[in-house]
Amino acid sequence: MVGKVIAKKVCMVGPFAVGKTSLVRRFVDSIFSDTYLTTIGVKISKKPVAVNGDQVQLMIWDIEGVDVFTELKPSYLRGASGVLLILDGTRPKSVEMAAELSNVLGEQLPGVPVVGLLNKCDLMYEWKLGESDIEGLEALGISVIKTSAKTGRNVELAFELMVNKMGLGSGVPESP
Amino acid sequence: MSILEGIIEELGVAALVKDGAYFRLVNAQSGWFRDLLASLSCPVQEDGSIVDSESLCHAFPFIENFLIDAEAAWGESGAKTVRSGIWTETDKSGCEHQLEAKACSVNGVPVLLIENHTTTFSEHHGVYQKARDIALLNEKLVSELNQRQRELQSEIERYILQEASIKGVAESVKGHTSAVMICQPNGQIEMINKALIDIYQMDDVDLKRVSLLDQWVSEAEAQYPELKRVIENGSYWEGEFESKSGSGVDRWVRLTIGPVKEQDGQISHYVCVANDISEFRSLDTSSGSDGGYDFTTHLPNRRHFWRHINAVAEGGLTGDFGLGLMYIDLDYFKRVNDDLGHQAGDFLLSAVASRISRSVKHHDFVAHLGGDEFVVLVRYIEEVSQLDIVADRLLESIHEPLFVNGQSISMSASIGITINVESSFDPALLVRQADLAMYAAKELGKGQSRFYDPAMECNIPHKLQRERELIDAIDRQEFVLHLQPQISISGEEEVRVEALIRWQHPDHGLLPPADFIGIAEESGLIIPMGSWVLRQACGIGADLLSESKKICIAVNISAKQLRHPDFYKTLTNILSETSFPASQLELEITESCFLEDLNAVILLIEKIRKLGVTIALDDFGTGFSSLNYLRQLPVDYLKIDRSFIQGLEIDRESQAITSSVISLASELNIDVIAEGVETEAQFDFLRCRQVNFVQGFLFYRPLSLSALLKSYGQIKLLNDENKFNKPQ
Ligand SMILES: Nc1nc2c(ncn2[C@@H]2O[C@H](COP(=O)(O)OP(=O)(O)OP(=O)(O)O)[C@@H](O)[C@H]2O)c(=O)[nH]1
Ligand SMILES: [Mg+2]
Repeated sequence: MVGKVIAKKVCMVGPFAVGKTSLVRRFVDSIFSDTYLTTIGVKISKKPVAVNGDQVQLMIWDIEGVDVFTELKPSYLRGASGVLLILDGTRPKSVEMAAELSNVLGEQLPGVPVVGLLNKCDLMYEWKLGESDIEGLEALGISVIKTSAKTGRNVELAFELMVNKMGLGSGVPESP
Repeated sequence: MSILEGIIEELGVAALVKDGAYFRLVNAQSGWFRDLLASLSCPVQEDGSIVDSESLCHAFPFIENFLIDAEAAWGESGAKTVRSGIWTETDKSGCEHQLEAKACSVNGVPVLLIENHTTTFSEHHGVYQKARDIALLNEKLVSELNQRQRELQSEIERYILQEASIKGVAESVKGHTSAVMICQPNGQIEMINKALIDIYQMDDVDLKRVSLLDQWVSEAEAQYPELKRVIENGSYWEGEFESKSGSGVDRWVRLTIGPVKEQDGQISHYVCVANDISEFRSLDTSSGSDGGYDFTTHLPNRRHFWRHINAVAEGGLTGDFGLGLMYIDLDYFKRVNDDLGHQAGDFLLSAVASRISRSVKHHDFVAHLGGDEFVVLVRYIEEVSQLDIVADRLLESIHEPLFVNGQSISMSASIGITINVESSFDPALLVRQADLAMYAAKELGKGQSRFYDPAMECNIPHKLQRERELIDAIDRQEFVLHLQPQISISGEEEVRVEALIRWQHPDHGLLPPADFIGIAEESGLIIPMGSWVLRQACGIGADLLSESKKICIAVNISAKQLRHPDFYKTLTNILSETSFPASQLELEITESCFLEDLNAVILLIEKIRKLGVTIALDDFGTGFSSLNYLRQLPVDYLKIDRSFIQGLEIDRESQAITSSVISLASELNIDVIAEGVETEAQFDFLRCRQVNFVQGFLFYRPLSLSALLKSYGQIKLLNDENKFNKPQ
């Protein structure tokens, strides 16, 4: 039997310049660039993944980073089945911002799984986050993995984990 | 094309009127929009004017989401136009288009406008790009500035210690961008550089007239009440506060103060490094973020802490519960920071921060006041003894080994505790009490906790009191030696024990060394006390020998003792006085003995070994040395620190370290003793790795002499038994 195609929305959320766009480009197109081109608004990329015989079309919403001038627009989150919350391991400030974002996520998308990505883990010497940050995020109900869009480390895994958490990969049916 | 359509097209807009499940394109000839629809394989009716809603949503998932907001706007009479925000669409050829949708009603008719911003986008983007590039740079600068300032600070201190010249410093920091001031403890300025003059806008004559140190202390005190105490006590301090300059304008400065000490421990100078961080501050406040968190550990910072405790005080305490405040200060942090570098220092701080957070309950409040100081506000305590338990847990978890640059380090901390059970309280008073208690814990030898006691307020330092008691104790012979057997698992028959000192305190009962060795070390009392231990141990050994109970006794020797010029003479005297054979005596020294003057220490130890005395390296793995460094040291035995043994069942790192220590030691022909063995599982692990001796509660606690005599035969038996159990 041929499985049907299901579309699922996943949002990339986080402070500016943490590597949201780079992670999507790594995952979807297998490319990476060192040049920083900030995202304005939203860009949606599609990527098919196979899950237990079903084809799932991931609609990945790369959302502009949050900074002094830009807040996360709640309407962008609507209908998301999962959120990747991205932080930059070399910028402690991004942790503070992420903690705030996770509040917004909790309000807007109650019950929707959030996976935290500590990105730029290739920059070991500039790494500034400690265990306490990770624990802080975990206390907020966010599972955390270290990723690098540059080397590709754990990028596939992060999306796989997301898909699993969305209740697809494990074969657990979604609640209606 | 009508004129109106032409205008709409010129504006780069596609105007769609909603009609049931369809959208009708008003400017049906819109080139760009039709091309884009075609490229996204969206079916459009022949004349190009009708698109069904489903196809539109399929082509633009972004619009699908926006339509929900749009419907709301259309449904509501008099509603405003809603905008979708910009999104980027990529066409078949890979070109990107920046679009924005708007929904509005025109005469009650729902209209969807799609605006094409592609041509003006790069300008718009450029502004955002620049703003974010600058913000990133700013974050980076702040972090580098902090790091450089600390580095400059310790470079200057090192220079003064080595060269004993302030002139040299003045020369080298003349044009430095960081402000530098060196002054005497009374505040009298010895040198300043131009950067300092620039911050304060005063000439150096004026600057030397005001006591800048006093000014700083009073300006910073509101935020940092312990500042004065910290520097007077000879510790390093850093912080950020607002400071008045000569021009009357307040500047934000980030200041580090490091005391330089003479040989005798007296403070000779303060080295102060300051940076004007007003610019960063103004950027930060304009961003509306007040930080509130420490940069390194991400714990709530000092300001956040004060806000919190003030709020608690304002709210008042209710019920039968009290409040406990713990002031935690890491021991020897500055040394670690200097030895291993600031990056490692920051790593340690983060690790300690996370351990502290983990050791307390969720609703307790942990903050990082800066430097190596933390506080924990424990709420809802019913009994004071609960705080003791928390403090012990904190001390233990901070002490667990940490791995930095491939080395293992054990940190320790001193904790001051104070409690409040009144419904209203003064936060500043509470903090000062906890700080004083912490200071007392430091004086009493570090690595421990103390409760605040009003006696701490009076001027006789606690340390002096303990010191006096210690002097009396030596006179009154209040010390006793306990002996802890080491069991052989490699077939040695000889009975071996480690001699451990205890103080039979007239008021406090039997005290472990942790309670007094620190003070003995600092005050120099360790010399007579150490000699007493050595003489006593040799005496006991000689007595046993005369009863044909052969025994090898290991005695702990502190770095200070070993470095004392008379140590060798004292040792040989005691050996001949007691006629205890040198070959039965072992000296346990720690890695810290080798920290200074490595070669001289090696020579001394070789001389001691020539007497027949054996040397054991104690607490191995917790100091600053690597395994390879072990090759240079003339030792016969190596004692793996108990923290690793205790970690064997918990973490792989302890297992890995223990295994590699054992195998390296056997390669170097050094016997290994495992300390603190408390469980069968630990013992099995060690036996399989062929450790030579084990010591710990699993076998024996430290025994009084009479208890040891009773167990003597049994120990011999155990040694024998293990000989046959030895794995091949
Ligand atoms: N070394 C390293 N650099 C990375 C990594 N991921 C992203 N970067 C770099 O970080 C910068 C920002 O990356 P982006 O992917 O544009 O960040 P973003 O989160 O999409 O930023 P905004 O769209 O502005 O919110 C770029 O210079 C990237 O090259 C990574 O894993 N390692
Ligand atoms: Mg981006």
